[in-house]
Amino acid sequence: MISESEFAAILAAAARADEDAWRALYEDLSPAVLGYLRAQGAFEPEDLLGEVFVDVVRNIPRFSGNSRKFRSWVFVIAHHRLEQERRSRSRRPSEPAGLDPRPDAAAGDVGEEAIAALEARRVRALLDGLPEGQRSVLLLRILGDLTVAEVARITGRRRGAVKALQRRGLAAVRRAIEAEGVPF
Amino acid sequence: MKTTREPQGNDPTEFSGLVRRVFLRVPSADVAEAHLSEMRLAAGKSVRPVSPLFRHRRRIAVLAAAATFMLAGSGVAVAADTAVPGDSLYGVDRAIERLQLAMARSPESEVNTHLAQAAERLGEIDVLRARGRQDRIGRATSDLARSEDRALASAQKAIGKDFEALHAHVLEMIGKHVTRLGEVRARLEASGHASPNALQALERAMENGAKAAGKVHQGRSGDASGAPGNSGEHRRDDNPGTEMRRGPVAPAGSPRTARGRIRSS
Repeated sequence: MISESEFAAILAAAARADEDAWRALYEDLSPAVLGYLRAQGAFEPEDLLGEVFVDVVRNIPRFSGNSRKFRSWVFVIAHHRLEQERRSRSRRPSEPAGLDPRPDAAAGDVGEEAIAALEARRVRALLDGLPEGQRSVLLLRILGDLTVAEVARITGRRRGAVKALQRRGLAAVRRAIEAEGVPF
Repeated sequence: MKTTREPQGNDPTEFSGLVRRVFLRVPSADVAEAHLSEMRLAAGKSVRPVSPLFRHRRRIAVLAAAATFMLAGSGVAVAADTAVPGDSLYGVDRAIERLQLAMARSPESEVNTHLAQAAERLGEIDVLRARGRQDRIGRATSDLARSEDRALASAQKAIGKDFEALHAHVLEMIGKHVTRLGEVRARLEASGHASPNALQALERAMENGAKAAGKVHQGRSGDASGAPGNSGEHRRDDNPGTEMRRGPVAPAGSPRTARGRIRSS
């Protein structure tokens, strides 16, 4: 994560359309944003990621705040883009996104790839078993590394509601794992 | 992530770790560069005044930038143009398509770009069939549907008679896509090696194409964007079918990274 001392300079440079600054912000946040979009089952997560950062570039002159606030702001954009994509998909049924194997599995290592694929399917099934609110809260907290207050702002909920959704989501995951009888 | 109670046996931090392990992904170098190019173009649209002369100059600058991007990797671009989903250069192909769309300046040019890309998707579906890569046909048909949807959405930006003409043109092309999909389906079935999933995907695509044309006849549909500051006018390119690869990322803060350069400046 970009440190607070670096962030002010990077933000000022990005507002002046400095490409190195954009690259720094992209490198810092894209893995988490992409992870969130993938975990939420975005149809084309890389496409959405690009759209998120185009929105960031367009609106960055209007942003003010520290690095945490910026991170939260980027996830607001990502969350909105995700909802927009879902509305669009609800009007047109389409093929669900496939599960991609873990990229760091050794090429040609069939066993590792198989384990990675099973792991991915298992996590996806656990997340898909959650109501949207619980899933979003858990993923924003886990992948976005966001606080309860930040998640509340992104999802438009009260802090108490976010805490409750987190608690219920974890409980549901726990029950599902226990029902499987297979620990992590 | 802190919880008030730690359950026995199933530590939520283990679940958190698993989620991170499965989903956190550094975009590949190709995808990252494509996104940065798009960001560059977007900044060019937002930070300049809109006088006619400057708009013309900006258009030339944007075209020059895109041409430079393409010429710099022209060998790559040519090779990428024949790529299909699953090929290593497919991501580059789709990135170039996104740039083409970013240069579209009118509803008509957007529609034509989306339809051209839909035609690419149709070609890719048939190539996948011919190469026996039926597992990717479902995804390719969805990409086709998305290009068609975006062509329809772009047509709705036109006004009056321009809208009617564009609208009719898109419907005509979707009809032709349905016909071509039927031909691909017939060839696949005739091969004797058709997978049920691939056949279902083609049938679903044909049904959806017919439905989309039917729904549009009922009138325009809105498509509001929820992103802050987004006017809703910018149309993004359609989806890549890239394989996700871990791209090379220099250590944070090193002189090779942008942060390192800014820090040292």
